[in-house]
Amino acid sequence: MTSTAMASSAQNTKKLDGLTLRYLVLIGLIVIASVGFSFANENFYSLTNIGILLRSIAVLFLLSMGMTFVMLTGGIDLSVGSNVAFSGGVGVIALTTTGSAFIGFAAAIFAGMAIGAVNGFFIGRLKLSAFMVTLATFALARGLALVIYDADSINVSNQTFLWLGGVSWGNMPVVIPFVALVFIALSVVLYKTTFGRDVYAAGSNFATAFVLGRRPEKTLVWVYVLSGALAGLSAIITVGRVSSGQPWAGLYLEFDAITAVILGGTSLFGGRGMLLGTILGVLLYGIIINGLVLTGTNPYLQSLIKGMILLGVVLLDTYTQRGKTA
Amino acid sequence: MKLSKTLAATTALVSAFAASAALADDALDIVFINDGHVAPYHVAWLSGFEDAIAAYDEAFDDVKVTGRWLSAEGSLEKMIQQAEVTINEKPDIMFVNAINVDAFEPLVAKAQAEGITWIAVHSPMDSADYSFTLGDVVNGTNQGMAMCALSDGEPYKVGIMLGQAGNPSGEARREGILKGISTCDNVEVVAEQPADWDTVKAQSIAENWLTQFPDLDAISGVTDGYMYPSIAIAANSGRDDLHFYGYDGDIPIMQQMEGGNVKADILLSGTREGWNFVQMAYRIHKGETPDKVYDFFTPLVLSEENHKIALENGFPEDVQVYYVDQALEVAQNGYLEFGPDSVK
Amino acid sequence: MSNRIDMKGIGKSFFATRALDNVDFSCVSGEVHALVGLNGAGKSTLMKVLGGVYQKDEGVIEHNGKPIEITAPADAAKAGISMIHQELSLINELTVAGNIFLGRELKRGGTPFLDKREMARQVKMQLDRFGLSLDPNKPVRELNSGEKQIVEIIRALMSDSWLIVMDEPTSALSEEDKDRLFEFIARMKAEGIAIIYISHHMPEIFSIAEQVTVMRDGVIVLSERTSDTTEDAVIQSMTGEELEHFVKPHKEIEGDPLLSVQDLCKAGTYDQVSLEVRPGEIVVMTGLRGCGAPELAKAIFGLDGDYQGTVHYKGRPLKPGRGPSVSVRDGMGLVTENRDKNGILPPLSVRDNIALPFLEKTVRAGLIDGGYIDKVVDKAIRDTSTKTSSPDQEIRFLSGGNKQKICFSRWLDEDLELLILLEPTRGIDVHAKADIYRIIEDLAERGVGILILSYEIDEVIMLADRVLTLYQGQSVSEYVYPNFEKDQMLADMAGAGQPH
Repeated sequence: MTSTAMASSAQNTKKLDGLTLRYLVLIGLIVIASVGFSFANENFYSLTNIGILLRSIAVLFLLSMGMTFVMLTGGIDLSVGSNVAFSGGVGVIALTTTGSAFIGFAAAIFAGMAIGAVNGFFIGRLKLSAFMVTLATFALARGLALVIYDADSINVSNQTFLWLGGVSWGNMPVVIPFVALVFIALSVVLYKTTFGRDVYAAGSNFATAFVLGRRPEKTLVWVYVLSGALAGLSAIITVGRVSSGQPWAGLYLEFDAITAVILGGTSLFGGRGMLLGTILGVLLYGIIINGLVLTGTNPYLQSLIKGMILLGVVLLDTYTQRGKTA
Repeated sequence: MKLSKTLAATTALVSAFAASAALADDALDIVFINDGHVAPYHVAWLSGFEDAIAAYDEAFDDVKVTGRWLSAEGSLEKMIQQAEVTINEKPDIMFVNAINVDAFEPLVAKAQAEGITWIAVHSPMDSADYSFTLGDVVNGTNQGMAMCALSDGEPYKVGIMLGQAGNPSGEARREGILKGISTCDNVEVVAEQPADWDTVKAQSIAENWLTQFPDLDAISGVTDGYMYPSIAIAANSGRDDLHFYGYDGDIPIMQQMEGGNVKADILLSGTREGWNFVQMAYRIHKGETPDKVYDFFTPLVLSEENHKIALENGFPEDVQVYYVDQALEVAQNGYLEFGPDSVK
Repeated sequence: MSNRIDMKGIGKSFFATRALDNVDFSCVSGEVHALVGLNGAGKSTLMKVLGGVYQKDEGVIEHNGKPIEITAPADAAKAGISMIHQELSLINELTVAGNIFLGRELKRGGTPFLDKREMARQVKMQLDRFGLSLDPNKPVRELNSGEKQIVEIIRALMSDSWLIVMDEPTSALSEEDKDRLFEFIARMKAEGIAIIYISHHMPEIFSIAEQVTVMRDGVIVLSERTSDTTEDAVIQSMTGEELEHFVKPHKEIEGDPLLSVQDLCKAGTYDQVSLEVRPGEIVVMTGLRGCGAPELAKAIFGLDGDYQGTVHYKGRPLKPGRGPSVSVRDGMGLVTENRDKNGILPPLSVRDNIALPFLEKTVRAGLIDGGYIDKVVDKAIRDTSTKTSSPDQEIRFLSGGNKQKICFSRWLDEDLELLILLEPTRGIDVHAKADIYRIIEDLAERGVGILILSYEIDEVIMLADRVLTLYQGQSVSEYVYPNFEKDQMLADMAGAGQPH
């Protein structure tokens, strides 16, 4: 039973609480990290390095946005990293057999969506645990990738296929404006369509959404399909970046994506979070990784630093969460 | 351990710089990008590299030698990012142990355009300035032939633990081992399984094999990392007659050769390899041109007694063999072969 | 031994808001002290100060005349104070005795092994002492909510508590369980236990409490022996004004049935139930808990298709188990009996909570028209007089009554034709209740057919145009306004009535 007195006081502090506070903290950390790294290495602010930094996190941007949708429904998608390898393989094989870049693109995206549909069917329709199902497809997609690639990489020379992931305009990789377009499109989907509202509803309270006549089970299916489609897109970018299809592409990317989404303030329990937070989370994560390489920080320390950042965020979460209920 | 070494290297560097500030306008900056940093071989390798950098910097007043290493932790994307950032930093020489060489072709060109010498590690690349290779097929063949020579002509059942599917080093080692085994009729490969360079996976594979093949005679592997769990499992299940054929020249494995069940090993030794990198870089810096495909010297390691038995059983005499003491000495002291004295 | 707690001059602020102001509150062993007030009056805050969850800003707490500091729940436990929570805190997988001894298990002499037999014996002794029949070795998951509550209380008593705080203890109980709880409370009083009883139910308070204290806006407005005051006086001091009695407006009900249910059966749940709802008509189903009415309502709404019989809606037969999405599209709405479980979407704003069922109608060229939603939501908040600082407020910060109003306001859309309400005023205060009754009447006047399930006989009589009494899944009789006979209805509900 919350008293009105408390409700109003919670409301007063809410403006600085929750997500807004989180975004301010993230921006603060990004500024601090950038300034710190630029003192340690004057190259940090060079246009070349910024280009390298952005290109290296382009794929993480896409996967994390898909992961945001998934986590807003209270789910998780461990299969995205493996899916990048699998859908890339399908795309590259379609490309090399038909010679058409566009058939290659379509094949990669459809293959990604297929894995997503499998996840969605088991999680949304059969109500199985997202963790278990995507853990299974995590292994399954990697296995499929190894089989279709015959465990070896395939070189790609089709310039159209490589364009998105490989080409830069000056220091600006073309993939960055593309990611920005995807961000805008997904923001419209999330905030301005009934599907987007249903994503929040399914994650806030599945039972209520169902009783109110929404179709949360259907929403879940589409959320995983979307995450799979973004894995397919990421696969195209990855192939472009390395001029070849790789059976071990995307290794551990799901963990980076989950980390970035959590850094960005999306709740593990669903219903709370925004795409902007994820973008900030990916940026911060990317800057830290890039800066640690630039400053030649000992890799044994790097794991320690990453762990400490995550722990810090968890503490921040708990603290702001307590602040809200007390 | 790592930290103190980094600190020591830094202090050495700073004092050397202070002492020879006027002299050190010649500089050599080396970056080593590896695919991992936690496997025992990698740890030895990276610390050998660090020690060598410090030693070379101290030994030569006219060149300021600096270096650092990066680990991609198994992720291709991470490795590419690290290579991109490194190229932007313009070091003199890059050693890259590529997870997949095809993926690095565009970066090699970019690095060379910046005047960086690119040395492909383990998997050779045509486009690279140099390739630092291990002679995996030859080494594997030697290991396979050692099995033939030490098996007494009786039927001899072997299980082979492989690397990650598709990994070129692992594939080459496997090819060599099978080639060596094919020189005799009595050695039979009963099982082959990838353990993904992972000691935990190796442990469960060893457990399965010991149950599945009660008459197994030997476990062979493409890395010594597999030998630690296999030896432990065999001891726990009372199989003290099981033989082991390792690869890498890890010191604790070689220490179990004299009178023990580890029959043969290939002396790579991470420490030695790290020292050899710096020596090679220094030689290139001084204007020498090593072979474009540079083979790391990797002798077979046997105990003196086993070598005699092997020779009696027709093991070829021209295969270069180190006995355990010698192998341990050079493995522990990379500077003996590749230190500053070797190029003075 | 006689115990007492005296809270004197307690003050507590949250930021700029004064939640408690100079509050004096006492309780004495062997007595039930009822604490009442509207949502937000400060009862919960006061109890959280007593329980060590919140720190008081001013005042003293005295135990038997000696000042004590309660800065953490552990301090309260040490002083013998226990809180029984609405959300039960038992572990389903453990037995009754296992839960009671949780954290202080008895071991078999010096060994690390649990002495289950001794623990069960001690629990049995306590249960016998209060005349309760419950098997200490039964897993808690097999107990109903009344029994779980008893386990919680026994756990408190066995850790030497002498003061038990109960917050709305009867809100989830059947009539039978309520009687058993009151019996238990009477026995505890006799054993010298003190009880603070938080409730909205006047009859309960006046039957079991010795003392009643009313809070409003963080201060005590009335504190009397129950023998010296009246229900009306208490209600009046709760609201601070003369309560307007809700008067049912007169109306004509005509037209074809909107909903017509024929011989609906589900084995073990309901049997041969028929009913009709016409546009603008309020039909109320009533009975005891377990009468089958909620299940029946869910079948009509399409949540459960496992039944025999037919349901016609707007003249067409409905497909069993077609799912709520079809029902909502057809102009049906449902307010569930458990707000927190499937009524609200806790992390979302008031706006999102209201707009969800009619989102499709706000779409222009594929995108949601935010301005249109704002208009509808503002009107819904106004029409239901929901108290919220803004539509952006997260719904979980609202009081129970306001949450319930939001569950209603979703359906105020003009396309609504049939609204099904399960226990529409459960756990909300008198003010919010009056608002909800008014909303229901307004909807009926607009021509919406309304089917209600209520267990409160006064509410049934006040709202209904027609009443259907149910007993163990069977309909007993039907009453049409104004021919409501309260005694006969109660008899029907208890199984003593004459089936038609």
